[in-house]
Amino acid sequence: MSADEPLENNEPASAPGERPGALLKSAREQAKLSEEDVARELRMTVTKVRALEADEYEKLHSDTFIRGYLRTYSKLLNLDPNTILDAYKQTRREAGLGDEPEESPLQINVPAPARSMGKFIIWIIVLLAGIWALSVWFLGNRQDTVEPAPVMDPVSDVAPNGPANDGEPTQTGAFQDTPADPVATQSESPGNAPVGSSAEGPDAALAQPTPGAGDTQAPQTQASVAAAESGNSLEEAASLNEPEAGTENDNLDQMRLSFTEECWLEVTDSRGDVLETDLMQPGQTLELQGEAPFTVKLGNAAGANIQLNGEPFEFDRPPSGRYMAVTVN
Amino acid sequence: MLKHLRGAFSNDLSIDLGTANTLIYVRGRGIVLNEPSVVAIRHHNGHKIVEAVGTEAKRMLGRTPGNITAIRPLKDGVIADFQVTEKMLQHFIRKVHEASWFQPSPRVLISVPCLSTEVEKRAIRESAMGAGAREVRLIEEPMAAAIGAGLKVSEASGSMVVDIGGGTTEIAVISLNGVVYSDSVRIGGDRFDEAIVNYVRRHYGSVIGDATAERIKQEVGCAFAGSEVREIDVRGRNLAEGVPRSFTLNSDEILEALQEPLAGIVQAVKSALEQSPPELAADIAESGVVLTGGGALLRDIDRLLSNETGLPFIVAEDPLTCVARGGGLAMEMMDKRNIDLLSS
Repeated sequence: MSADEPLENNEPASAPGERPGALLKSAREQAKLSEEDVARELRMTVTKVRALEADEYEKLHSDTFIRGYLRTYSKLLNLDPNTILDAYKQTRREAGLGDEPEESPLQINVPAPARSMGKFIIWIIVLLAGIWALSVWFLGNRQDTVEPAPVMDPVSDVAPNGPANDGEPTQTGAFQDTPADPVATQSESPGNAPVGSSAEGPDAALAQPTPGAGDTQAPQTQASVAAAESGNSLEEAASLNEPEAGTENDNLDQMRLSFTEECWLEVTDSRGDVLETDLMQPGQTLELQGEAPFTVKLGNAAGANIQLNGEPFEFDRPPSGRYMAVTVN
Repeated sequence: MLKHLRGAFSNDLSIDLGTANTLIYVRGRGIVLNEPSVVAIRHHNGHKIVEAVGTEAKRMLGRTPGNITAIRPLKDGVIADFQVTEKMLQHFIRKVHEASWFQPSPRVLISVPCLSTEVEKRAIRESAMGAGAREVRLIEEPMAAAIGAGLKVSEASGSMVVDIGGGTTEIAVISLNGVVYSDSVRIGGDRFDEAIVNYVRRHYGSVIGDATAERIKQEVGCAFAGSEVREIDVRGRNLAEGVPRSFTLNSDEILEALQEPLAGIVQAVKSALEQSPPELAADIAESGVVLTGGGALLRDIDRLLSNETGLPFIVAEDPLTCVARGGGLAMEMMDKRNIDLLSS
């Protein structure tokens, strides 16, 4: 058979993982062509044809030429060049090489010039400007969210060391730390009306910060610590709010969170109101009311347990120390 | 200063400003643009307004009303219409910076034919600057093609590359990061299309457009006599009757039509081999010659050249994008080492 004529399709029964050389050799033998015929047709030496069939690529030139030879050879045998090239790539991968040569074909052995300082200075200026802009934005944001604490009511008999509520309007002010008797706390939990509404009631001051927490910029973390210390007082205080808030909050969902490890959290309700943002300590519990679904963002999700309306809420816990956002519904 | 500030928000681009297609390569993103080098201009009250650029404009070629002209601003690899080239480059540079809020001002590397004159090089530089580039570097097309094809151009060993573009065919022998011998012939894809149009007129008495000729070339065109015969149905306007007529062309006829331009390329390749220094010629004979550019996609052109020269010819992987990709790699290296790769 003349090598000049295109051959009939000799698609070999290519088993997956078969080497390109073996595929080419079997197709050549099926076409009854000798190595010399192929070498003459491709204008290559017989040594090169043998090297291709034996997958001895180190005897050939660079990767570009090897791919080119394989493509031309497979076209001569009427094989699909992509099948052969895929097999070649597989061979490269098995040899621990990537699909493409890693080294750039262009190498220049001229020492790199010293970098001018101009660019460096511009980047420093841009970086400083960025830091300044970020700090201005951060401080501005902080002043917006941290409002001065309201004027304290002197009534402090019930909660002498009550929570130092920072007056944040979105906070329900009803979380309690009740490690001793969590079930009781849940059952006795009051309406947890927002501070704004409870402040109108005659006993509003009971749920308000004590005079002792007179610092007008009292951060929220202080509030939670104080809450932890005076959980029982707050319980009593909250129970006094029940007559006003009970009717309004009958339809609200109740969520209870307890912590076995230190964990930051942020809770938002279905309206998007932030109910709580705090760093919780091991052993602390937190009760919140609002409209489900709640979005709970947990800094250390492995250390948190959630109950919704008395039912435990299960979620896939990531490893300790990992953040997770959970929708509780 | 403003250009430098805008440059901080722009990518470095490698542009293959070809007669047929313009390709743009961005470092880290690969080829981001591949559009025909065609601009449609609307004439309105004595003013010229750019109506469409690229693919959209190519669709208009040969189908425009009197007040719109679809033109190809590059001819034979060099700028034929300076202002339109500038507008086209501006459009393409903006297109690859669509996400940017600022007007882009990138550093660009443009490939030029190896035998282009100083005036032609300057025209390319200035049109790129006019399009908003803050720095323009040039590289010879075959050098970029060789780098893009993955040839080890830095070694002390000869590599030969034949880049068959739309307007020109560039042939170069490369060694040690430089072009040892280069030649450029004004034969390329456009000449193939032209040859097909002439053949159809002579043998079928019908006129077909360039776009139809290009489609015929891509679908049934071949360069070697032993190739599989394929057929295509074509419609053209019959010259005698003046009405559109349908006829069938096969690949043997197209091969006959392409004989003249193909012979020109074969002759140029043989001439390059004759003039290569013997050591480099031996290296080329040992490893073979690499074909790049859109013309390398013509069926069995590697077999034709191989038969004519007795050397192995291989088609590079993704030959259309070799110049743009190679330009990108060259730009990276030029940037690191602060050197120019232009030999002349």
